Amino acid sequence: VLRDNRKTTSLEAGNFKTAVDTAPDSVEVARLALARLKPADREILVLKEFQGFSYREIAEILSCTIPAVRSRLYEARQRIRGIYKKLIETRCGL
Amino acid sequence: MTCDDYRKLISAYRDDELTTSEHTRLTEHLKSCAECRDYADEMGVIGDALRHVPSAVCPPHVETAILTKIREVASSDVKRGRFWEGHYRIPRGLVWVAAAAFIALLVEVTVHPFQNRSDDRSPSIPSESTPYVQKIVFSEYDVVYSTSVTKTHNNN
Repeated sequence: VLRDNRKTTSLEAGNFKTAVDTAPDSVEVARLALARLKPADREILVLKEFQGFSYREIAEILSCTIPAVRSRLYEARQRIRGIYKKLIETRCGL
Repeated sequence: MTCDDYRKLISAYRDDELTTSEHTRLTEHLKSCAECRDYADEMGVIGDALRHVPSAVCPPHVETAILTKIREVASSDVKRGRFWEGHYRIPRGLVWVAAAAFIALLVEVTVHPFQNRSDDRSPSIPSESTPYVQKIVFSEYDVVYSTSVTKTHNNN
């Protein structure tokens, strides 16, 4: 399901960043998923994805360590991935 | 390392926060793990979609209502507060320090001048055996004192 939203995908190891379909639907799903996150997860994702702060800067902003930022971002991404997939499945009637 | 460990690295890779050795390890793992490659692709899709989410724009009427409420709360706070808690926001500790300094200054002004006069400027009463020397008068206090000494001296 997720792959349907992509324009191009590189499966080559070490070069897996994808150019995605930025159709309103996938962006809307991402927006809904972000809104359903816990505030702490949303906070750190916004600092990284929207504001573009580095780990060091986020650590200063949130008064935590850089490894904590890395861990929290991973966990937040795990959770938003789960919500995103559920929303996509719901929209596709799966 | 497990696939979960590599997925943490994938998250950091997306943020360009991997060390060289971590990058090498992840690249090697992805060559042999299709699941982690799929995971990386999924995270790429979600991350790019997130970046295209428009920033929230506040409707004008909501913005006006919020600003009005903020002004109301701010003005009511100023009215309720004491005079030093208005717009200037003087720290309360500083007020107490200033009050203590003022009291100390008041005590210094009211008490210390008399101590100086009694210590430094009060002349000893001349005895009959010592020759009396007319004191040069500089102040009203000294005038009164010198006069009384003169009278006492004359009476004797």
